[in-house]
Amino acid sequence: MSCEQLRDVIVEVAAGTAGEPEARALTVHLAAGCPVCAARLAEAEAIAGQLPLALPPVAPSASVRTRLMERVAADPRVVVPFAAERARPKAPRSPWIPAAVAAGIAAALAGVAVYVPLARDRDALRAEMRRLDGDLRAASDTLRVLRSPAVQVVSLGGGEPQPGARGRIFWDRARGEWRFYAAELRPPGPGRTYELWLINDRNEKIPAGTFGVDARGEGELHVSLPDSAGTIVAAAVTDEPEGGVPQPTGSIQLVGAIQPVTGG
Amino acid sequence: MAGPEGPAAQMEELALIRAIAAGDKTAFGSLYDRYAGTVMALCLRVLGDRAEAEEAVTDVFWQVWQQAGRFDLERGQPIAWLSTLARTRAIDRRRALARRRSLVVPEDDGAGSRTERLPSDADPHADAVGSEQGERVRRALSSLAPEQRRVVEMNFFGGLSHKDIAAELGEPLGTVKTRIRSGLARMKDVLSAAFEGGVAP
Repeated sequence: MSCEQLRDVIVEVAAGTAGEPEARALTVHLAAGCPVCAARLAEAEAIAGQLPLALPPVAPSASVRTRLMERVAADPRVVVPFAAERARPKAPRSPWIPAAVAAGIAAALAGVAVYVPLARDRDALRAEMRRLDGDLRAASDTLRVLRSPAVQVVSLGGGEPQPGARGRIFWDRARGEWRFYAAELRPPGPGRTYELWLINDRNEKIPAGTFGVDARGEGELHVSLPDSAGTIVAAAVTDEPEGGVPQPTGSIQLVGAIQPVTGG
Repeated sequence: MAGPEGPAAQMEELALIRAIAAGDKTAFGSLYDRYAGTVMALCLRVLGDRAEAEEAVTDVFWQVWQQAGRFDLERGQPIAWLSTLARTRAIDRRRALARRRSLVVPEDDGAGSRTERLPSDADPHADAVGSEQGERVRRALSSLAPEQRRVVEMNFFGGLSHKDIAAELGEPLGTVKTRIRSGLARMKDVLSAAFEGGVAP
């Protein structure tokens, strides 16, 4: 389906009334990386998400709350770690600049060339190919983001505790996505973690997730912020207790200002 | 774009979700008290039946309890997540009911027309209580032409597909789609204008 045909599908997906085949067509289209439809879907979902607030609230019977609280009290569940925490251990790629990514792809391809004549185990070779294919896709995806004219690059410098640390954010304005990469950070101490903050023009510090670093001192986070977060003017990383905190308490490890975009 | 009562309130809500993810039952109770009325209102619109709507509300909040750990910033505000869960649970429940009912009556009969007959359809201001954000959304909805608002509400509150709405109103499908799209575009404009007006010095 074309972007034009998908406009109504996007509305129905946001309303929860789309048919299975249409919803699948949109998913496939979005997976192919169409920024226009992604932005349209985000817009429709933003409206769909707050529309019910316009309804006069209707109180459910008190028994609904009572039964739920009883059920919750009896639930011996295992606590699931917070989403941003789980997302942490990614493949240690370092997509600092397109050149680095390109070099990585070249190195990966060179690896295949050397490996092929020596390979005895077909399955291992296939697995390796699949892995490289995955790496290549990830790298292409990153390249696509970096090439997009809507991407703004923000540099972060080390704070007093770690002057050598650095960070970079690729902010895809069209999609409202923030890709944050840190380098040369010391591992956080035991029971500690790093937490990213996006600071808006009212000096409100919005928690954007926690992350750790690998052996090379690199870490990354992908964040989507709703438009309601306001105009983000700065980003900072602090050292916090594990699990993160709603407001910063630790010292600033990385910090950077975000240049306003004229007309935006 | 319109926000909640500022990022401070949003962060407070995110902290609530995080606490629920960590197993905090009091936080769960707070989130329920804050949003059960809105979730119930939405489920009631879709299902048109109090008992069924209460079952859907129970499903929604049980899912919140179980999946709060999977909530992340990508989902935006907690109310957006709750709205999605409420629509999904209520529409699924209605489909299941329609399947059972279809043993005796034709499938498209029922849910849609009942939703339309709910008296509160007439005026969303009827019981205008609630947050600043709710007020902004109500104003945006009121700014729509009546024929736009009707179809937007049928789609987003009633959980009726564009096809069902066209059948219900006896209008061409294309007309329905165009009205909903232009209605949403209008809402988006009004909401962004309201938000910008709100933060201007």
